[in-house]
Amino acid sequence: MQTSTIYFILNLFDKKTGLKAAQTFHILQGKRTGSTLFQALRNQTLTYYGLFPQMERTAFDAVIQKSTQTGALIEKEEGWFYLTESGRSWIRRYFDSTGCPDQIDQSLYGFFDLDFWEKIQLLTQVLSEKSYLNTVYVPMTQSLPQQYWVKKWLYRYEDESLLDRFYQEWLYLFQQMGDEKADVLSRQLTGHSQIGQTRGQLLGKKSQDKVFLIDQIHGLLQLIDAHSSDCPLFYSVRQDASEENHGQLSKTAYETKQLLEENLSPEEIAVRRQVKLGTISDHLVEIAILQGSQETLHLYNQEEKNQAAAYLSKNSKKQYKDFLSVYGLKEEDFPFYKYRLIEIEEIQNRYDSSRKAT
Amino acid sequence: MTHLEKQLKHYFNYDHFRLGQKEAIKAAISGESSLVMLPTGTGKSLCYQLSGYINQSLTLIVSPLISLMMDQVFLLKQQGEKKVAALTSFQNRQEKNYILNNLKEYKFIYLSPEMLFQDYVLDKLRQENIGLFVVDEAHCISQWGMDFRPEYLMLGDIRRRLDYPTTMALTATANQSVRKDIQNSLFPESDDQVKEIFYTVDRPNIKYSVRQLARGNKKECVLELVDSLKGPGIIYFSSKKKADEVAEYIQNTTELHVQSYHSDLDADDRYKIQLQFDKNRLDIVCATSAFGMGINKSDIRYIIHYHLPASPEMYLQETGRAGRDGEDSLAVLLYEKGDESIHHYFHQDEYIDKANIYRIYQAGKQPLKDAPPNHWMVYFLKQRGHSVEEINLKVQERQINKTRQLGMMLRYIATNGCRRAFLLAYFEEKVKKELPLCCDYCEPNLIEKFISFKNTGNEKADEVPDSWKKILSALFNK
Repeated sequence: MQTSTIYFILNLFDKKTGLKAAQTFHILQGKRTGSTLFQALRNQTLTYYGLFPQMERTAFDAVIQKSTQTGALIEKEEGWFYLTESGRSWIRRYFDSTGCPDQIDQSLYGFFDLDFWEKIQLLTQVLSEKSYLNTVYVPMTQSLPQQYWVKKWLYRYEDESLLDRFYQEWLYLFQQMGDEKADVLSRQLTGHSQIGQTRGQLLGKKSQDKVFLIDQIHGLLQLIDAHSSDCPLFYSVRQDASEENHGQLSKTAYETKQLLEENLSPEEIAVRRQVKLGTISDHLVEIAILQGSQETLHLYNQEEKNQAAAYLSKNSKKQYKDFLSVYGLKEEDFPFYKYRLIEIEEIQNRYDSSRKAT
Repeated sequence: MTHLEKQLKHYFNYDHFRLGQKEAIKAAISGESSLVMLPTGTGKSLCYQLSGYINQSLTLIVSPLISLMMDQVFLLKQQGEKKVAALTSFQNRQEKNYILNNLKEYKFIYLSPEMLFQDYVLDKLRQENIGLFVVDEAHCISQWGMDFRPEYLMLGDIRRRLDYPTTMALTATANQSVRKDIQNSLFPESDDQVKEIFYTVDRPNIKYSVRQLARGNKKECVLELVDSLKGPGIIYFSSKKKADEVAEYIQNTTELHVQSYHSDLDADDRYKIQLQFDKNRLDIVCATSAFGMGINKSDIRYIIHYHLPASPEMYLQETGRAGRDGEDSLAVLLYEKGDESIHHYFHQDEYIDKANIYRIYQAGKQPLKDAPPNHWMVYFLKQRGHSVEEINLKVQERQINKTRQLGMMLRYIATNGCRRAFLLAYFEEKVKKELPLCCDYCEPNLIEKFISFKNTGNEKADEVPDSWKKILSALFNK
């Protein structure tokens, strides 16, 4: 495992509440279950969800074990780890020298970031060659759908001013991100008479870690989102990439969402898709967490919400079965997905208010 | 200028054919199947590419490795050919369907033999007029050849199912028994009609040298060589980790521009490195065998093998990437006692005993995708109607053969004679004429003859704009 990844993982434990090692591993690996996503929401690690899909459990456990031995982490209860003061100062020292990846937001961009980056690089190459009237070159990606996408995109946007508008948007975005970041990003681009540099050539050893590339791409995406009216062409690429990858959702959760939009209930969706209600519950949790509770508000009424919210605010246990027994309810009266969706809405509201307050 | 030469000029901007090319093309365009053996780096691909252009119909190229296919697609696109694609297992269904549903839009389709076993692929191809069916690296058919690929055993059957299209089997390194296997397997029905075009495997402009070193001295030796040899050059490794380590060491110790290249890199970075090397922005690539199979860079001046190649075939294939412009080039093999152990380990890993052969045979199931070649060999030979006893014999022979090939490499290192003559003898050939510089036996100061200056690398490599403003202006011609 790269040194920067190790420090990055340790950095996640910098929380008052500490983190459970096993859960953190599943969050970083992006395990597609409702409970993993829910834990990520609850302990505010959603921005790192699925950042290391290839990470192996043994490698992660080794990092935790070694960090505990060296005193960077401390285990207070079984499986719960906290960052120590010395761990904090080691991390600070390391990231002071390399720069800390602080733009990553997997919950917003994690599902389409690399696709977006491939599209932008290919489009830049195609338009760069066009500006030199050159047609003989090797596309920087051999992916046929990407090449086909460029053709379609050009059909939509090509006119006399396209080359200049695309150039102006790059100019604007580079100005917004500042010279240092713009230098690093621009050197990766390939076009006429310029061969992009590899990450290794740009940033030395640390760049071999994909975290730094993801950080750069998410930074670019944040800028595009914040200035969408100033860079409509880039925004269109971002939207295409997002749509092709079902927004932030997995394909199967996306299918559930489509059926939800046809006003089918979760129970009816389960029957239609021939899956268990539990699977649909997972999809609903994914939709509510990644796309916001407003997408699932219609699945419970105010009375149900008040009942569950009252329980959640008073009981430290916060367990569904306990909730049912406290109110003398049966599972079919109050399915698990309603309880979980209300809990998600409550957490999101709480975060929103604390964000507004700060 | 003949008609063919005019076509050569038109499509490739060359004035003359190289040895063997014209014969191979003539055979292909007159509908005659052929087995073509031309030395590495002498333009085998051109034989089917020009035939494909002249035929004006679809050319299918079966290739053993995805990286090789991607290299060939890359090179054709670099020449401006857009009607080319590779069908690979890395593509999703959508990508494959796009190609298969638009076959008429393509001139050249590269694909793996496994792809041809899929009925929906074969059905689509059968609806097309296949002008030429090319079996690249045809020595993969033979268990005696380098890189035996059991899937290649089924290509004869695929030809039959495609209604016997004109076929060109290409190889650079095949001795007599390998050539016989190719004939029997690919053209079982028509061996007398297949034209054989053979040229020597010898590349007189490549000069061979071996350095036997004490343990732990390789990095220093590499440094000494690259610091004084004129590049560009490739250093081959058996290990990705070592390739990274040595690349970093050279980069940090010299003024040279070095990159490592292997399958762990993203496709994006692999593309950039290949392009940078091609455009002289890099002096050295430290690579595993994943690099350079289809590389068409003509001025590679040296190939260094940091690790021992598994066979003389592989060695000739990799050294053959040097000196395609005809200029003298150097091939240096570094050897430390015990280097062969990694191959013993690989052989051990692949080994299957009689009991296992029987088990795989009885099960009759297709092995897992990443199963060792020997498992696939049992499966495909059974498909071809071989008895378990015959299969057992063939598997054992193959295992013995791999040990023999490795043994030949060790003998090559230890030989007390001309290294070129040794390599040629392995391919049942002889040295035709004495060369002024041949190898380090014929010329003990061979490497010194190539060392003439302090190598400070390629100045072009430093031509990277220093600010995003300049980069952006250059990209968009502002």
